Amino acid sequence: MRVTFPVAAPPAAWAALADPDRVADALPGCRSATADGDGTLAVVADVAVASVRGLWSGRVTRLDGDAVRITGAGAPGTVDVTVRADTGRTALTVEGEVGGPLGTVGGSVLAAAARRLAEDLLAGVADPASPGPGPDPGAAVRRRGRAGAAVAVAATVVGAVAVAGWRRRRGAAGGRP
Amino acid sequence: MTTQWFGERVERREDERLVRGAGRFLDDAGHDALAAAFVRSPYAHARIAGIDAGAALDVDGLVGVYTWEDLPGRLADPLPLLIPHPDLSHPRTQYALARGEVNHVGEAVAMVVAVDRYVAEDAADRIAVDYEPLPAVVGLDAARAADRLVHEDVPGNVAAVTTQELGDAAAAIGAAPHVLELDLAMERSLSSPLEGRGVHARWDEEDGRLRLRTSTQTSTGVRAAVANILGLPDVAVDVITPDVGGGFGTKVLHPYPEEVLVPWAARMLGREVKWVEDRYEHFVSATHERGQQHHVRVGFDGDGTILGLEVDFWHDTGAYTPYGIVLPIITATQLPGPYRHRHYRVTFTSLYTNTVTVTPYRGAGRPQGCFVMERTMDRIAETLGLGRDEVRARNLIGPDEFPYDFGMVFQDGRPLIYDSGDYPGLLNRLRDLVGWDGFVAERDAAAAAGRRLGIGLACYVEGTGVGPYEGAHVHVETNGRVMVATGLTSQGQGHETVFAQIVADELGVDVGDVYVTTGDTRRFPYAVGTYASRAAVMSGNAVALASRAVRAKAVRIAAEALEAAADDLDIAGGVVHVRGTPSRGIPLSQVAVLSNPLRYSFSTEAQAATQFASAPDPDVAPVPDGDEPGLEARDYYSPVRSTFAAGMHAAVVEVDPELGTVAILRYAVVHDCGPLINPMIVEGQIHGGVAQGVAGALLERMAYDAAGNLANANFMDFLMPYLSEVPTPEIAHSETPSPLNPLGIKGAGEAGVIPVSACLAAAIEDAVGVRMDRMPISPPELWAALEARR
Repeated sequence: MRVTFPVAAPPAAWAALADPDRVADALPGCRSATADGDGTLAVVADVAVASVRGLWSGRVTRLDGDAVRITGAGAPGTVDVTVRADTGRTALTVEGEVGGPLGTVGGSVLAAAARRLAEDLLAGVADPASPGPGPDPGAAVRRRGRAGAAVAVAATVVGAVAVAGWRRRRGAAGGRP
Repeated sequence: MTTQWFGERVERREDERLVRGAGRFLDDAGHDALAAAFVRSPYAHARIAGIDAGAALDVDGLVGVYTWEDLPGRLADPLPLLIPHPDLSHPRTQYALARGEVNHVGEAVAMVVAVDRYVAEDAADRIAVDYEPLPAVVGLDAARAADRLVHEDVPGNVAAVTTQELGDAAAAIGAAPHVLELDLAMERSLSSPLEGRGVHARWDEEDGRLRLRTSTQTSTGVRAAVANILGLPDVAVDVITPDVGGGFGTKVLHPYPEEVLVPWAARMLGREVKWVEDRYEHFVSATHERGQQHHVRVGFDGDGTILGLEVDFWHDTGAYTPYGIVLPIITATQLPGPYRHRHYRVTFTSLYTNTVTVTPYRGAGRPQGCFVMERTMDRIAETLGLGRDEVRARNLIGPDEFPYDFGMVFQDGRPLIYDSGDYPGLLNRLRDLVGWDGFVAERDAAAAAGRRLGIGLACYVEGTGVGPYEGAHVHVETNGRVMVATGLTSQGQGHETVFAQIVADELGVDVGDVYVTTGDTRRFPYAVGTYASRAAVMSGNAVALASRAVRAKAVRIAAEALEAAADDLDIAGGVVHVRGTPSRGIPLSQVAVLSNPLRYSFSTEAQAATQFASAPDPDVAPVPDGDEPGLEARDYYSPVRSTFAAGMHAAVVEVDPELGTVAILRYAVVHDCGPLINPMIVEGQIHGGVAQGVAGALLERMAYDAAGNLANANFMDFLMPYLSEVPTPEIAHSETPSPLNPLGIKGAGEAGVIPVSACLAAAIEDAVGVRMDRMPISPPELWAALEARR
């Protein structure tokens, strides 16, 4: 996948992405975000893109400049993408490979999900008082008025961070890539 | 006692299930399948700047949204050019999903897959496509003017220009005592089968096989295309055509985008996926036909004999040319009709427009050609003050002139040679059937009562049974059932009945013991398809040849068992017996047992084939060299060229000059498709064809506006004929055998529709004297023409 979309977030939001706790609070579906000391962030999240849902875990590694690499796997599929902000932090570009069930939803859906995830994350870290995911990420999604639909791929930046996630297809799906 | 099934009005075997609602159509399968829906272009011509599926994310049950960017490998290439031709200089085919540009309203832009069709449609509604509209080319006038282009790299919108010529038409016309020039046109219509298209795909991960059901006219064509495009082995793709609720040509195009996208999604998702065309989709994404403009120059002598004919015509091929230039070739080569031509030149230009792609619709270029030729005949008669029947009679090819070689190339790439016929005989029968000679008195009597009656006639020749081939497999089972498979598909023609009749005669069994399967690649993988009035000729002869092979084997095995000479044996009532001694015989079921030497018996009857059941010749193997176990055979029929059926229609109409309406008072059809396998089924074909012909003459048109919107894409505004508009034709058959195939038969599927526009135009013109040079004619148009004259 390769997608570029505009983002609008105050400098404080970008700074907050460096704080794993803020990220964990703000990222839809996030169960934990742990800095492991060598500049990477370990993320576990419930991810939902279209009908693909499930627990996903991965790592967010800071690269040179305003960029991170997100890698990980889980029931929803595999992710290996780079998320890069442009010079003025007005746009993000997500580029890389998405496999497994997530790779079957179509590029336009992945792009839309990545954009939504980034927007939600940046909005969440900028304003900790805004409704966060809480212990039940599904509830968080519902609070935001997006019942059942969801979040997803993707990513965000920094100085810092981003994420992605997936989830398993419905029981009946029993699927294959 | 021998029963003859060929020629009998055997009731259609398929009707028992079809009329009880027990048919199995595409949508009867796959109830648990995921559903696909399509985002289709609302613009006739536009660039696609972007596709945003963001809002679709909120639809619960969405599985995926796919655009051209998502398509892998060959699926991202343009769909196949099915019928290339050296004169098709600028072929263009569409992508399975639009790649940056759309060229007609209805072109598929994105596919949505969801848990059901409701969800899929909801999600499709939320996908935002950013279109940058471009000027549209709509209609032949705009295409010919070429101020705007459909494809920017196709100059003049010209896909192809072709000329064929017999003799020197220009010189012959130049020397002719009389010359006429005419401009004649016909509108677009579409097939409108009761059942639209549909695709249901299931990927079997364990077996690595794709099972694809599709409402098509060519299951083997779909199979080859899908296997190739998806990169699957041919043998891993099964294509099954279930019961099909009509095709009429539009379902012979393949693969439609949905036919490759749905199986691709099914395999990728590991789930069954189904798509069923809705009626709007049929209007804007299933192919259309018929739009042509023609300019005619004809030279003739004082008794109406045609000396030279030149026709230039322009064919609206729509947005793409997957079917090549077959349609205008058919018009060009069938236009001469049943008439002698020494000097004929035809040139056509196939033009792109920003409308739905054009491929054959029942009749396939012939209604236009017939309209041109027959209107020309009427004008010659009018010019000379001769009878319309008289002028035709003078030009008809005589029964002793066959084979009649036009020196041209037909739509199958083979020579245009009429094989047999009796055209003067048909004309005489038509005149009797419609009461041609007594009509003047009838018209005058009506006129005295203030009524406006007119009579018209039109003649056609139809090349049928085009190759390259069809095949069949015939298998007599040990229970006596005869299982027959042929690869071409059925859309309601009655193949299960007529093929069973042929097999029953060849094998001497009851028609009820013959079970015919069509259009299932698991049963017969080599086939071409059902189009061009070819099924009876092609598969009918193939099942006859395969049955003859089975019969020969049955007689050989029975001769051994009965200790009789094979030449002395006959088969009747399912029993091989000594001719003249019916009691000395052996049932075919038992011959089937003996045909397959057994180690393991599976029934009392089968014990006869086991290894200790008889004392065999110790030096002969149980299955000798060159033999095969089983009472079955496969054979193929491949003709050197098409066989040419013919017919003539006449109509008596009444025009209401105040309303502009046309009532058909009588409709007569004489028809010669060679020996009739089942007269009832042929008559049904004629009834249906005449109904579609009336529709094309008086009702149906595609109401495109200048921007390329189809304003009547629904059954409120697109007028189909009801019973009130369709006459019950009086039908007379002639049966001139074809010398080209073992059964001597010719095709009958499209015949009924071909001359109807020409015939009704002539009758209306005869009734009210208004020049009928384009069809269809609506009541407002006819009323306006009458007003203009008042």
